Amino acid sequence: MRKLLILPMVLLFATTMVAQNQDDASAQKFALGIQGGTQGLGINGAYAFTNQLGLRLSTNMASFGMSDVRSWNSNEYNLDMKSKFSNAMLQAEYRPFNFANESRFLQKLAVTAGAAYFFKSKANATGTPSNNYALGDLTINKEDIGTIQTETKWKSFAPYAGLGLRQMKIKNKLSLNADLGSHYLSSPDVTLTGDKQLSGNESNQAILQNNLSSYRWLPVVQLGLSYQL
Amino acid sequence: MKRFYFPLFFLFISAGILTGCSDPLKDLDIRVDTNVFKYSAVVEVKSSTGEPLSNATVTLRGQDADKIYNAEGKKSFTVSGGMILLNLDPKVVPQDGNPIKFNVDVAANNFMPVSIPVIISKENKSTMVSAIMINKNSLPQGMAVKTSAVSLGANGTTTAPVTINTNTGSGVTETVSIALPTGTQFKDASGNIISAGALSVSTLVANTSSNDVQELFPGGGLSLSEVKSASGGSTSGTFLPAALTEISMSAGNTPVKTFNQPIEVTLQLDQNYLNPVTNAVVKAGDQLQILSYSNDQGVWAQEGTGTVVNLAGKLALKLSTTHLTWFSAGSLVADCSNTYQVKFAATWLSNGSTHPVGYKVFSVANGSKDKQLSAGTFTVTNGTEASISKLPSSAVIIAYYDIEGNELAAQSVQNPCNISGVQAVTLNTSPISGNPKVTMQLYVRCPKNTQAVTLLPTFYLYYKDAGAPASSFKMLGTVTKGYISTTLLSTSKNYDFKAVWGSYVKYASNKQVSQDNTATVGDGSGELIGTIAGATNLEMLKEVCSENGY
Repeated sequence: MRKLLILPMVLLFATTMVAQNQDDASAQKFALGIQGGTQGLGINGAYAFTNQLGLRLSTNMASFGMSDVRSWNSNEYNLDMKSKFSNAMLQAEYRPFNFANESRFLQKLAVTAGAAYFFKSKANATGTPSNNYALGDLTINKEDIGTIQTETKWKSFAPYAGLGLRQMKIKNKLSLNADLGSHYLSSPDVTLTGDKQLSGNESNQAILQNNLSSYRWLPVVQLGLSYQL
Repeated sequence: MKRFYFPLFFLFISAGILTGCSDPLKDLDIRVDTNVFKYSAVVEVKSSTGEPLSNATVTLRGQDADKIYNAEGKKSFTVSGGMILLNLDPKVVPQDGNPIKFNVDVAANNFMPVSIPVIISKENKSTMVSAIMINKNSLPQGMAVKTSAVSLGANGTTTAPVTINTNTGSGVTETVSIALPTGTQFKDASGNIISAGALSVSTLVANTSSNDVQELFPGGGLSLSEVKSASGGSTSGTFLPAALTEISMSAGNTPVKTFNQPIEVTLQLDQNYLNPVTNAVVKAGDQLQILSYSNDQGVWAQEGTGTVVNLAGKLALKLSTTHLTWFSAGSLVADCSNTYQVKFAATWLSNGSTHPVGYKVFSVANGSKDKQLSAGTFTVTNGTEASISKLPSSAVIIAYYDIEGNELAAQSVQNPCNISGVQAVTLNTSPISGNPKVTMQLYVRCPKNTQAVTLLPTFYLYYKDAGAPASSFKMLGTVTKGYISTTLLSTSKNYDFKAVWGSYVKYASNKQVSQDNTATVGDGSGELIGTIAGATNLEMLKEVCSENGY
């Protein structure tokens, strides 16, 4: 895994070095930046071949969590859900209206497409009983009932498509970027296990697998700052 | 690129994301396994004549009775399918040297009540004990009863000395004699004199040298967990009886409990009784203990000691009493405080299959098995460890048997109290071990549902040869999550099966098994709904499914 994390850093570093090695003739073609949004936080490097066509290499890391309460068969469960995604992403950017005679908005508009390699793409959920369990005259402490664990994993490779706004100038070489798009992930692999008194619920794995089979769109909404070299 | 492509592109992505976000937990059915118990005990209730018991009353008492629940976590207990299922509160764990102890009292019409002591030790997560109830109308071999009528005078008083003598026969070689002196009056449970013109006397005599009788000994066997002393204290031990009788009387239709003056009972003894005190055959002048057993309290009590006398060439012992109950003469041998721990080596059970291995503890006479002191069953696989508690402080032979009664091993233990550590027991290969390993997986599908039930309760499965009498059902084992594997079944024979779950009992008759068996209980085509009272079973299935939210 460490090797996989090093890979995008090396690529970014190489891109940066290439940019630094260009002479002034290629100035304004290279940019480095940071971004944040639904993919978490990340850094990127970009190269513009022409006014309309460019290439961007980025890496992102996100960790999200949420809680919920669900009830099955009159028993309430606290659900603790966590997802972790980290990727390296290479995308081509096409700016079809980047001409002086177009409006300023259209000049900034870009169509982006590419692919991401996910070092980590999984979501875990843990369900623990909210209350003690009553069996006849007996009370079973909720700690003794057990937990339900699920793990959802997607494959590493995923194509990406989206729209972007590029080089919205803030100051001198500093500009703002915006992205809206989605990765299209593989159908996930799901495991569901239970322990103690919740073991034996494994037959729900097939149901969960089926429910999550359509969870393939990973939306990207993010803002970034870019510095022109 | 056309400008209107952009909003279309945006809509496409948004629609894709939104349609992918249906509830991921839809249709999940998470259930709590109600098999919460870590320790359980099964009391197999049999009648001495083999017929099933019905309408039996089950009561628990003793120091740990409050910690015992049925499979539904409640405090009501019944005999279902010949079994009483008892579970220890899952918060309670038996400790080394401090097992869980309680008594199970079972009463039923036309049967003598029994009180069975149950001990759940740390090592034995599944304890099995037997309770054999004596059918008063059809006594087993080794027991005989004599009913006598006595005319009474004014105020229900004997007007002359009365002597009642029992006869030998039906496997009974000893007799009992009851002497009622002149002027004896008979009292009811409240201590009131019963004024009646006739007295009915019922005298049951048991052959104490019969192992069958020893299994029927009041209190569930010869290992007595509590014996009250005259001073009010109590002790425990293993009782080696030389005579056993039960005397009951009724004046008119009123049961007699006590008398206005002592009556004399003469117990003829087992003439070959080995006195554990002298370690020799009993003889005149020996001192034996006299115990009485109260059916109401389920406890033995010391009545005192008596001297063995020779009466007309037969050794006997006389006792004087003012109340009626069971009486026995013999010797109480103290129990060991340690448990006897064993580890089974059974290479024929090394493939993961289990076998219900029974054990019997015998006293020793002339180096051989004498009286059966206690018995039990372990579920054994190769390497299983188990323990036997309450062994007497005298020499014993412990024998181990397969489910068909074939002896697999026997250990001679001179002084069980001096044994420490785990004793290795090598079980010879059972003659019925040639059967293939048969696995059975049962699913249950509730009516109206398409999917099988996700969690099945643990239940007990019995089997017998197809068409054999109901009394020959033997336990096949515990079915956990619908699964059991066994080597007890032949794939070339047909069997009848009985499943017991809580208060439910189901039968499947005349079934042949293969090595891998899968079946689904339900009301669909090709599914099982039971071969006896199928309609009732379907209603039962619907009711249980409804109770459990299916």
